[in-house]
Amino acid sequence: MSKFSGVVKTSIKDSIVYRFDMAITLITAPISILVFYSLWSAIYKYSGVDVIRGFTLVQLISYYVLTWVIGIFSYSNIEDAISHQVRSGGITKELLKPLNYLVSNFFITIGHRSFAMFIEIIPVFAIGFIFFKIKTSLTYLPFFLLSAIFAFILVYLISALVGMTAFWLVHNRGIVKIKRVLINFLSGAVIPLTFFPSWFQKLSYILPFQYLTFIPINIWLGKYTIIQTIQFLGIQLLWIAVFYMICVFVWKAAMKKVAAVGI
Amino acid sequence: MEKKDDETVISVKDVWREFKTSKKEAGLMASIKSLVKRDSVVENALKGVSLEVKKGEMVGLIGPNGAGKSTLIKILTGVLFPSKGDVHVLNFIPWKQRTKYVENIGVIFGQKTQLWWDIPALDTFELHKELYSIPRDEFEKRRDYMIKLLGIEELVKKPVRQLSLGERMRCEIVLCLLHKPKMVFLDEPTIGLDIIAKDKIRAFIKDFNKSYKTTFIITTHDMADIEKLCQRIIIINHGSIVYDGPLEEIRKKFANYKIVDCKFSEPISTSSFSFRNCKVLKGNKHELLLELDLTKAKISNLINHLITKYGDDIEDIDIQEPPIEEIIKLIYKKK
Repeated sequence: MSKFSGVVKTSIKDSIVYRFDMAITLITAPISILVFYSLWSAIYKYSGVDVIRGFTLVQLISYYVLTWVIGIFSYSNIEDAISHQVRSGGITKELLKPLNYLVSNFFITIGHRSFAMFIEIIPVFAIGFIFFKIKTSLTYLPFFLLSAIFAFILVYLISALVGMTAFWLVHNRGIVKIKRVLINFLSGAVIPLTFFPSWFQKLSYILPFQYLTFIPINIWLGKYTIIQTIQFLGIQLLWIAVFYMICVFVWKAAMKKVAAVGI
Repeated sequence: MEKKDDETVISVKDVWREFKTSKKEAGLMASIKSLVKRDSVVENALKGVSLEVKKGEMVGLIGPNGAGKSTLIKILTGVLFPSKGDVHVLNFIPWKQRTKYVENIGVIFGQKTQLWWDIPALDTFELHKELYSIPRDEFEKRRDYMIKLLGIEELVKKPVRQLSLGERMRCEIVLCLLHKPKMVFLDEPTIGLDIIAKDKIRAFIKDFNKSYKTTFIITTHDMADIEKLCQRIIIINHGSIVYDGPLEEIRKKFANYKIVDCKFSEPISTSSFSFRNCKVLKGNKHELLLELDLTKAKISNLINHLITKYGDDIEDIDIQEPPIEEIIKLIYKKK
């Protein structure tokens, strides 16, 4: 529908204003990757083994660069946007638009991330490829792209849920912070999940968060068979369906509260 | 069978709106107590409000802060639902069919902007073309016409954050009316603007109302907005409508008096002045300021009396109607 393409287009125009802000990543990412690279090269060398917790050095460095890639790809500020709107009362004017707020913001995020592809994502990958010699599987690239898109949608839905606590809590920065830290660890964004103690790994396997980072990256590193990959993609879709339904339910409840109490 | 031009666009019947607020007393002990137990009080923001608006009317909605204006507007725009009563706007029940309903209305909320901040207004206009499914030709024609009328050809190309308040408000008005809404809610449309900008915007609104028979509901504290734009005004106080009718009739109903300012060329003793149904507001050797109750006396009689009594010593007699602000203030103060 042209409503959505209109939002995406406008959002891209908006992103262009922030191009220099976004370009800072081209400085922070390489530095961060360099530190990680130096640390782990030393660890692998000192320990004298080729594989630690299922990862060779090359795979581990590739993993880390890809956490940046997928992190930027799925980034959304919806949780901050909602609480800001609720606190400022600006949510009222959002409700007067002929498009659902969460849907509209989803397409705004798509617009922002599309622009980020050129300024941040592809450049960071290129830096990893050229300077840090990361290795990814060409065969599994299409699967990775699909998995990354699913991860993007999942991140949005989870962030929207956390953001909507603002309707009941108004000051929900504490919850947002907890969510960020927990998900960072549980998704494997800090370090691959195999590096954690087994009880933590078991926990993360039943939770949806590994599908935000750990699984998609491993797909592109060629760590799974085609069958396993397709199974993981299927589970990602299932989690999307679950969170979508929860979001719809919570949004309806939030709107009822707004219309009953006026925020 | 009603004529098409006389169709009712807003119908509000006996609307009540209550709010539960938690009562908390001052003091540390009370604060600690309130963590566990909260006393709640039910207050009525709207008490049995009823009104009807016909297509093409320009209605001013005024009342002191806390009178219930915003509550009423929120109900009319579908953001709030009433505790009791029926509301129909453009044949919709606003809060029940909100997403479809809002395609037909335009809203301006004084200070809050609907324009994207970092990009030119033109870009937000484009977005609205898509959001409201406005055909390309119609969109460009109307957009260019409005931009020309308001003189903002260059301004719409600059990022909105670089515009002054007056410049931004002119862009907001265009944005609000681009999709030719049937009903427009304006909340403080001229706030913070200089006199020229105010005039431009008022003229523009009037022009739009004439051309498209758009219904306008204007909430404002600026009496000049009301006087220049609205044929009908509704005054809300303490959750009820205290007046609903033409502006001129307000004087007759609430403040039927005239102020007579009589200035003297020579110092003259006025301590003995008296006239039935006439109050002396100020009396000294140079001036006599009087208030005449028009329900009980005639202005010509008072003037006659003054001329008879003071004759050649009168330098000037100025007859004024009570300023509308004073009348409104009186109405606001009533319990």
